[in-house]
Amino acid sequence: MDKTVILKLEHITKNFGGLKAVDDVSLEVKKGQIQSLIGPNGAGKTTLFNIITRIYSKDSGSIHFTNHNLDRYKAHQLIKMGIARTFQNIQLFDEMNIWENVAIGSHIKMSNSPLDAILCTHNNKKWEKQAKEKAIDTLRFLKIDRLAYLYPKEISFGNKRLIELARALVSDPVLLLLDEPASGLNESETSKLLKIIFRIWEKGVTILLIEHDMNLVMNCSHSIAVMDGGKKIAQGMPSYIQNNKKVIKAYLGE
Amino acid sequence: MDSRIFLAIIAVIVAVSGIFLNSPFLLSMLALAALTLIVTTGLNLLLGFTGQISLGHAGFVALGAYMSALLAIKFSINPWLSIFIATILSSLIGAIIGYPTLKLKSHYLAMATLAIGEVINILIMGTVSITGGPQGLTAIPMLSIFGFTFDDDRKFYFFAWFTALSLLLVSINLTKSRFGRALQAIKSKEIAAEAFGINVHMYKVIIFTLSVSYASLAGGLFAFYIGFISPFSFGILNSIEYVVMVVIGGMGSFFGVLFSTIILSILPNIFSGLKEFWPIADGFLLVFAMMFLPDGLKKLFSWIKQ
Repeated sequence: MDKTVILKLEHITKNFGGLKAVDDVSLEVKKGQIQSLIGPNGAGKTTLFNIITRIYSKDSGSIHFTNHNLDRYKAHQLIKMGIARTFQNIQLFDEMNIWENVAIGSHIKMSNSPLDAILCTHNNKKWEKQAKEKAIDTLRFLKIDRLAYLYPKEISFGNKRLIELARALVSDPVLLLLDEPASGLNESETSKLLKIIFRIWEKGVTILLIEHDMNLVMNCSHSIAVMDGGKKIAQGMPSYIQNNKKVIKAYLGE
Repeated sequence: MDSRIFLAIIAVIVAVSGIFLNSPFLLSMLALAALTLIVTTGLNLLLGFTGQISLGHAGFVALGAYMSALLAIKFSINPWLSIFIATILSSLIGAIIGYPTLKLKSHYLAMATLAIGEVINILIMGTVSITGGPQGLTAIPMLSIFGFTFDDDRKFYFFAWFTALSLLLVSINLTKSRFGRALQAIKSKEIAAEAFGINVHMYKVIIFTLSVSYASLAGGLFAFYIGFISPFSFGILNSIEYVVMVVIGGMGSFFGVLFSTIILSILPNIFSGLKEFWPIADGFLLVFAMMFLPDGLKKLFSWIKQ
């Protein structure tokens, strides 16, 4: 596998009954780039995300992350490899406060055992303190550390999106999958999000972004892939995609 | 206020009550409430924290009670060792049952656990030559250690409450760590929990096994305290009562469940004339709590702790 390619999808197909949700899609995500994935509703973008993160099983094709065949891994093992994601429909844990929600992202990296927790050992205190500090540091990076002790139901929709992002970032991802992070955000929140995406990318994180906001996509992507009806219909730089006839047809019709 | 300080205050109240209460009836009732608390604390970890229902926990209490009693009676094994072995074996059975069962969700899981509880009860009823069947098991020896026998209600009251509060502390400590966060994440959003590195099924099986071990331990202690066990003490109504205690106490609230367990364990004994109506009251309380008190006593205790 090309060393500059961090994620390689080859001929991915997924059917739901009679519906071909993803149809023979191949895609390469290069290291250190922001790769976007766009397409009309129902194009199969989120399904593809769910296949990459092993929430759905694929019918055929292969997925490689660095040199690892992802078929050999389960959904819960991907975060340890450096793949983190956010969700299109916000998936915060309602009964935990914000820093606890974010700290879930570092769960797998902590080494305190259940016995440590039961006996309240020094090791347990050390890891728990670190997890809390890292969660709050990440919230500070996103400039929302003031929310640390609130609960999801007490914060705005825009901030909930940022908390999801913080939870993914706290795991120190190599590849970050963002599923419509600007969905439901107003113009100023979206422009704030754009700056955040750049700051994350500057830290060396490769980003695979699903998004409907074309301004955001065109302003931040190194490469854009377009899906329609489960198929990939185009891929290239933003300027190429903007003028691609197939893409225009997919969005505007005949 | 930290939960552990709150627990220390409760431990002092329990100790003072144990010294000053003179009614063997009250002491015995409270000792049995402590054993029930062990079961409901374990069930709270499963239901309250992880969101997985079990309508068969009385079956696991029976498993602990019968296995430890039989080991002591038929094989003359030391009662403490019997309880230990029975708890380990029950946990193992819990893990074996939990592995396939916990792949089921919501009412399918409820039905499967209900069936498991009933199967255990039917097995006990049916194996008359071993368990005594409906007649039950008698002549179960008392617990004793270094010549000190738990032969009166006060002694057992202290021992039962020490055990129950110790397990409560274990559970509080566990849930105040990354493991507690993992359980709550599973309860709230399983897919997101899985995406963030939590092996959802494994966690469910582990917590189910832990919950079964609590139930089994309570069953073992019950057998050696009362000296007699019969399948009628471990039926479906008992399983439902444990769930009612957790729901009324507030799922995920250890102190709420502590108080609901004490109240709901004592009330049927105080109003013993109305005993046959108690299952109806249980059902009514469950519906009432689901409709009007979805957080149970949890909010009340959050307020007191603050």
